[in-house]
Amino acid sequence: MLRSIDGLTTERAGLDELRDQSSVYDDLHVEARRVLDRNPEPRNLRDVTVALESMGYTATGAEALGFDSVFDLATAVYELTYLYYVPQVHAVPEPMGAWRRFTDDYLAGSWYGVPWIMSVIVLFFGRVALWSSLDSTPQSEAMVSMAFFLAAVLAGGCSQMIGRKGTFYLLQKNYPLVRWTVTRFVVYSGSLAALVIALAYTFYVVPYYGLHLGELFAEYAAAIFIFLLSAAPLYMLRRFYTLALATGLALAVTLVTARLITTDSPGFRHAQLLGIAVVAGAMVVIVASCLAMRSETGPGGSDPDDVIKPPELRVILWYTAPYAVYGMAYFVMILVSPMIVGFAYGHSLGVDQYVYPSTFEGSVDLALLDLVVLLGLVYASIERFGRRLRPLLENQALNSWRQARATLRREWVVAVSVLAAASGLVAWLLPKILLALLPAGLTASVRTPGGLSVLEVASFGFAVVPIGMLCSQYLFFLSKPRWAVGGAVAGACTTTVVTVLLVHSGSLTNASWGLLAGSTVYALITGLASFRVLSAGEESFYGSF
Amino acid sequence: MARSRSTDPGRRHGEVRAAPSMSRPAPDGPPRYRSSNELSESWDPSDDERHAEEQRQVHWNWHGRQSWGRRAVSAFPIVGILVALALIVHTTASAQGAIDQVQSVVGTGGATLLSDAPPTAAGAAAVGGQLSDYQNVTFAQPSGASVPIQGSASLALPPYVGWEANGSAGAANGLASVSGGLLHVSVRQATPDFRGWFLTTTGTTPAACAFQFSAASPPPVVSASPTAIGELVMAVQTSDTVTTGDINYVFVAENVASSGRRNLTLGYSRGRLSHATEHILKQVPWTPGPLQVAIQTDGDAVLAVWVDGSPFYYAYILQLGIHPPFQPYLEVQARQTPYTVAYDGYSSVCEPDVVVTGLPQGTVASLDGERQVASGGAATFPAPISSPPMVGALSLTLPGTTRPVLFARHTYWPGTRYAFAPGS
Repeated sequence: MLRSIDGLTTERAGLDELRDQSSVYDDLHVEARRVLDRNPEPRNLRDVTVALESMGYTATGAEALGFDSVFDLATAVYELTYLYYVPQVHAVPEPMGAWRRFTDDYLAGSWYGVPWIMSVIVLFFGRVALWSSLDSTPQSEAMVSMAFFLAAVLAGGCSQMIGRKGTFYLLQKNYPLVRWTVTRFVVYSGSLAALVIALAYTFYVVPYYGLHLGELFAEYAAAIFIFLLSAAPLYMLRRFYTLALATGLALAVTLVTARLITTDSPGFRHAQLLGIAVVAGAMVVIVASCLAMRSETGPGGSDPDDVIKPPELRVILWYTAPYAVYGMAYFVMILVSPMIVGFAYGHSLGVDQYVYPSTFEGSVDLALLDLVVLLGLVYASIERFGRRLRPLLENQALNSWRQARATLRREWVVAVSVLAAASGLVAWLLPKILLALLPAGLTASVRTPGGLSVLEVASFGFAVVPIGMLCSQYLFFLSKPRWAVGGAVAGACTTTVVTVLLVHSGSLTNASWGLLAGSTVYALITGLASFRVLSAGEESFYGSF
Repeated sequence: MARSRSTDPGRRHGEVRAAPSMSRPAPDGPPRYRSSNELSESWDPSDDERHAEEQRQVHWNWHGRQSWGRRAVSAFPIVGILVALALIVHTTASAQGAIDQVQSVVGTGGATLLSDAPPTAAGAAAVGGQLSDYQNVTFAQPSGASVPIQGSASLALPPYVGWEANGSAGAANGLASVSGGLLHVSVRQATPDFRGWFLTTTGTTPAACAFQFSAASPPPVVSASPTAIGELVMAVQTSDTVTTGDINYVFVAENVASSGRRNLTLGYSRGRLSHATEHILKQVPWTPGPLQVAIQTDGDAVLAVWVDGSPFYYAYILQLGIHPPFQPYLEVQARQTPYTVAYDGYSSVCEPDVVVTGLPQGTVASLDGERQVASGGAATFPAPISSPPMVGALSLTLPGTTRPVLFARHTYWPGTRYAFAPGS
């Protein structure tokens, strides 16, 4: 225990003599520097004392230097700290207007969608874009479609795990653990994906579609999974520009490779070779991810003296599993409708197989572009929330928590209302704009009555998804993932069940209502949960540490 | 992290002291138990620094013992990959024979001919239903009623996935159906002007391939009108129609007049939407009989047509303006008469020759009057991509045997690859 400063003058003479020795004097200078290492700006004697205690000093240690207590030692050290004090240069953030900051955030969040817009354009002019090809046979399209569904669901789970845990260590600048986490998640999810793809190949695709189409399925599932997963580190590092650039380059590589090797190939061979082109494109993203990881978390960014004690992998996997479930359920929710419609379509054609429902898929894919417009808004909203939350809570007196909660609720209402309004507007306008802008040839099937109906309903379905995403981000931010996971799972189940019921009643066109039902359930659950959590935001925030 | 000379608050400068240890002898006596307080007080931060100086590299330090759970987690990546590989290899190997089986010969211990072409689907409810790549298409399985395709004016023809029916006759007057091994395409009621109905592929075929149509002889026209005409039309059209509106195509048509006069006409057509202009390149009188036509074109300057295996037309200075890839059209056209034509096969042929592999050296393979001796494990029946399919019973006389393995009558299109699997 520390003793009072008043007792300093009544110490033993032996200690006085000890303090006068030159070696002790040297030691005090060293300790002054070490204290400043730990706390560059000690504000008072107590700060120095705390630093000394954290360095291991006890009363015994202080006495060894001729001081009666650590507090006495701190007094002597404190007097020397001014010699080594270096004024800290505080980086003052560039003053930025709210709108400019919002625009920056929005653009950063929207960059991710640029390659997908490009792929639509390239698909029309080049006939090939990533894994899509206008020259595919229906059988090939069916295989690619099923492979994409499986790969997206698997990669979605892993991407969420990397995003959560990798970001956790990245914000701590614990770069070795960022690399450790990303490497292990990639290896484990790669192994899991291989296993799942092999099981699907063995027990479903080959028995029902034949060996050759089965091989096509396996090829595409692996290629698309690699492509999607390789983008996850870039997303974690928030290298949106790199991600857009790499994906755009991959698009070009895929197109060029496809043009070089598949132009004169018949449909089946064309599809096989296009799969190889997709892998070539994925290599671009992999290289970009590796370079970004190296530059952001390379050895230069960490102290080589650090002794790293990695966490228990089982525990990491267990605690990030909810995020994996969230990621997988999210992709099931938005992609399962075309799958169900494909099976129903096949049934109506007299084959109990998945048959690529080109019109339904075309309309849903077009509606998916809603997300490209709205994801930037989700990103800007959550960034704004993150910037405002900490100052709000730090400056809030303990007895004024009611005001803090009211502010957080207002923040939620404003953000969700703005997003909901924007979503509604986008859902209403985007289909009309796209149909006006895109060549009629590309959207011929979408322009039919059935196609238009699917497009309009799916557009609203996808427009509701960002509301759920924003509310899920609130929950993740405050380490309350349970309801986000529950919302995504409930949304996926609702989409599946409603779509099955609708196609069972014989209407493939109405199947898009399944997506709208699922995304609404997702948004409602996560919305209510996030509002509730933010209503006690200060508890949630401090409880998350 | 401090880089300065270390200072030990618990001892005088210059002394060296080991890290605290419960078993370490005290300086003034035998080993003794040290309380936690003592241990805490004797903790020396310089030990950490010294340790850090020794460990210059990032050091991974697992804590705890190796439990079974930890071992399972550690082993998962390797085990997962190995199991996946095993499943894929086993499935591929076992499916090689099961999926592509063309026919098995009774009394030969299961000698089997396997097709290496993309297979028909093997699902129990879909045998023969799914067609792959539009190669070796025969109409063996009867079709169900045509059903609308979502968002399209075309009709699907179950179970022929990948094909769709459409035409100017309209769904009420046009009909495509499969029965008795033939695809029937009809205009059911007479119309004053030309109306048509066709079956085409939803997928495409590249320009490097030949489009091979096989049809039964078009029937006579039964109509009182002297100007009534029925046509069997085999066409190759750009697949860009849906995106550009271009309806550029080449066609070979057998026209049948009500008088019984027949012509075989070759031409091409260019136009947008419904305003195409037809150009006739060659027209000759024709006699009734089955018709086998192969069309190959680059869509621009070159057009080659073979009829019943013989060259019918070749030109390399045309300006067709048909952008590849293409789609085949199996079509009927009629004026002032109902009319139905029948097709018995179609194939997008992209490679020459019929090849049977898996044969012992010296095996004699006979097909359609041709005889080939297997070399390098394969017997190759030469067949350019334009040649009509060989129809007949394949016989294989293996070395050391006198009784040939005889397969049932089958249609062998050029470009098909078969593997022979001897029986037990």
